[in-house]
Amino acid sequence: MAFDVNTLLSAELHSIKNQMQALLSAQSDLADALADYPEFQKPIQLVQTNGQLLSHNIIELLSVLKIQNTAFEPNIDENWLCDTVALVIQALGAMGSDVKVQMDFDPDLNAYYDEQLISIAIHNCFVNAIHAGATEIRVEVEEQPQGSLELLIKDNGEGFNDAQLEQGEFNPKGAASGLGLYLMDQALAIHARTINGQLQRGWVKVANLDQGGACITLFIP
Amino acid sequence: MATIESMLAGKRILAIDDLVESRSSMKKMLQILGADEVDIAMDGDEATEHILHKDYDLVISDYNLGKGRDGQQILEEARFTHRLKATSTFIMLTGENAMDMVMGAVEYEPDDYVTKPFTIDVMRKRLTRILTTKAELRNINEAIDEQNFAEVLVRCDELLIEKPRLANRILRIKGRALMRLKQHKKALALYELILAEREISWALLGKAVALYYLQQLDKSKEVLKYTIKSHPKYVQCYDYLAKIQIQQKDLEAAQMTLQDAVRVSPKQVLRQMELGRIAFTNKDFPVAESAFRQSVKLARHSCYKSVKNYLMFAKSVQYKISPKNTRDTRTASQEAFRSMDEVKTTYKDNPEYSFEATLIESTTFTNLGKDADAKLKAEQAGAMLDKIKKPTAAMQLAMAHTYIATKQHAKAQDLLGDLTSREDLSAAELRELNRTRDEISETVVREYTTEINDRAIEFFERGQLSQAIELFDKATAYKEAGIAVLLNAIQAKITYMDQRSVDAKMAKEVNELLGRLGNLPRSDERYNRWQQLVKSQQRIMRAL
Repeated sequence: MAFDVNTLLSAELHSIKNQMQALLSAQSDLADALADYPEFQKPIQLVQTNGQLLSHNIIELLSVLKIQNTAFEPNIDENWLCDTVALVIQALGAMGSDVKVQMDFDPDLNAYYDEQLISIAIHNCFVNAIHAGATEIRVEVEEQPQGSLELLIKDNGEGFNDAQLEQGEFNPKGAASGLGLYLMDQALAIHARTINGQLQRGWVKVANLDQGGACITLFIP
Repeated sequence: MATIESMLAGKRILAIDDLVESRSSMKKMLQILGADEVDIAMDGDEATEHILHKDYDLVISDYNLGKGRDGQQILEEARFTHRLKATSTFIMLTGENAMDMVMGAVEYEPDDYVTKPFTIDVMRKRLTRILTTKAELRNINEAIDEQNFAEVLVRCDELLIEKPRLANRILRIKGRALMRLKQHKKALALYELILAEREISWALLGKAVALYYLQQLDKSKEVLKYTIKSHPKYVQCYDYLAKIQIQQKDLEAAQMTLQDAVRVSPKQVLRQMELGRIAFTNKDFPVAESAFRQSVKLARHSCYKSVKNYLMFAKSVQYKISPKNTRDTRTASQEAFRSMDEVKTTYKDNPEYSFEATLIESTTFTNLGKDADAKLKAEQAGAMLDKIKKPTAAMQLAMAHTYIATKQHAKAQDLLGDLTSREDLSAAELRELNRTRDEISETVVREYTTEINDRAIEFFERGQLSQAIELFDKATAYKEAGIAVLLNAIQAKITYMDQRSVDAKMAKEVNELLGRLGNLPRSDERYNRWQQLVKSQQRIMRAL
């Protein structure tokens, strides 16, 4: 074979991303052009929602590749958490969600993480909350020594059931359930760092809040 | 935080992307975000043209730009030529797989990057953050533009207190400033402090570079190899590793390292040139050929364009050229000649480059087995060398080699004689001089003196003694001149003095020639002739 699988995958992903970029731009141009035509707004909204979903799925695919394929390395770099969360909120908004999200941390807080993986993790947390009937989500941060972070994503939904709370590991139970939490878990676990001579990996914990609702904690070392 | 609209208004912006839809969508996006002056370019050449003629505040470039230079190269050249100041912002649009390559440059890195695909909201957020951070670092960047690195350090320390959240960005700049000030110990301490908290790739490279400058080469190598293992696309690590391997005289390892580096990032001219140079030294001509071919191609419209690339490329292909009329020979020789034509055209005002190109043409003809053409080119090169006011020892040595290759050993010997009298020869050049001298064939030189002798005899027989003596002097200047040549020279001078008048200087010259001859044995067929000439000289000496 002239090329190995990873080279082919990279090339295909590159093309898909360029195409996606072109599609999102065209979408935006279309929305602008038809802004004065109320009869087209609903279909345009549908186009934009599906475009966002497609974009999200591509990023998710890339995240899976990073997790499963050593040829695709995570890009751990300095990012501003406020920006990462804000973009997730905007993407959800473009998909039609009206959940209120409050960011309760220093807007200048920055940390080292792979932005795409953490975006996926936060996105999945929010989607979980929405599916559990949440109308409000609050994001808090506890800064740990040596630059680690605990992100606490609290919602006012139904909370987790006992089975979900009891499971020690996140396993996908087939395509329909468990995939979101599993991907989140893997996305965090790939963030590994040696702190004081010990290797620490990222993790996810789920819990219910005393006042009702759920709390998902994401630890980024 | 200021709004993006206020930050973009009035700014000169350049957007670079090879895809037409991406270019126009980027321009539109920027205009929606508040930009009112946006230029677009589709490749490295167009972008460089824009950057040469306009001072941009913000450049947004896709990393992959098709066949020509990529976004990283545009950035490097713009910063290297100071066309893009430190206070200007360069943002790279990149895919995941290019991250380390983009962000890893020690000297010239983008201010930030945005990964595709992105919506206008993503761009708004990223641009706001990037430009806000840039504004906060403006004071420091102004000092960088003034090349006042001591001031950079002062401002970094001030900002660290004021904006602790920007610590890593500030420390990265501080590390580079310490290196520029050659405060390598402090730089090392800084990087170690950063690494104690978090293993960041640029800090690992920084540490390795500091160790390199502190001459702790083995430790530096260790750090570099470790960094390459975890960040195999961090191409600057390979560069420094190769530098160390060269210093430790492990040229084969250096070549392997650079080959790995160009596999990761094939479009960096300087790296290709270095690989070519090392491979050539290692006599790995196929690799040298490929590297210099890339260097010529990549540097054609770049600030790194260099005559060396052309010359070394032509030298590198010589291994393919032989007197056999194979396809390889034809292609390689055509490429070599084309390359030298380009040198002579591009650098026509530089006689030194034309000289070097002519030497290579001679070599090419020699390898093709076309001796007459080779000799002609060698003579042209010799004439060019004579016109160069201060030729270097390297030029003279190269010319001597070419003379030898074209069987003009006497000329080579003359040139080596000139070289010997130079006081500025390096140890390497002295060694080369001695090696070259060993290549000169006494036989070939003697044949040359015989040729001159034959021409001199023609003049002598026509009674044109002055012209004959001039040629005999030329022939006898070579120590290889044989007995017959010496006897002929003596005879011409004695005949001249007999016909005109006795001349003390000429008489002395005859004595010197007789001294060189020594006593001929009776068994030599020229003994009688020699005896007569000795008696004639004795008569002349009595007349003085």
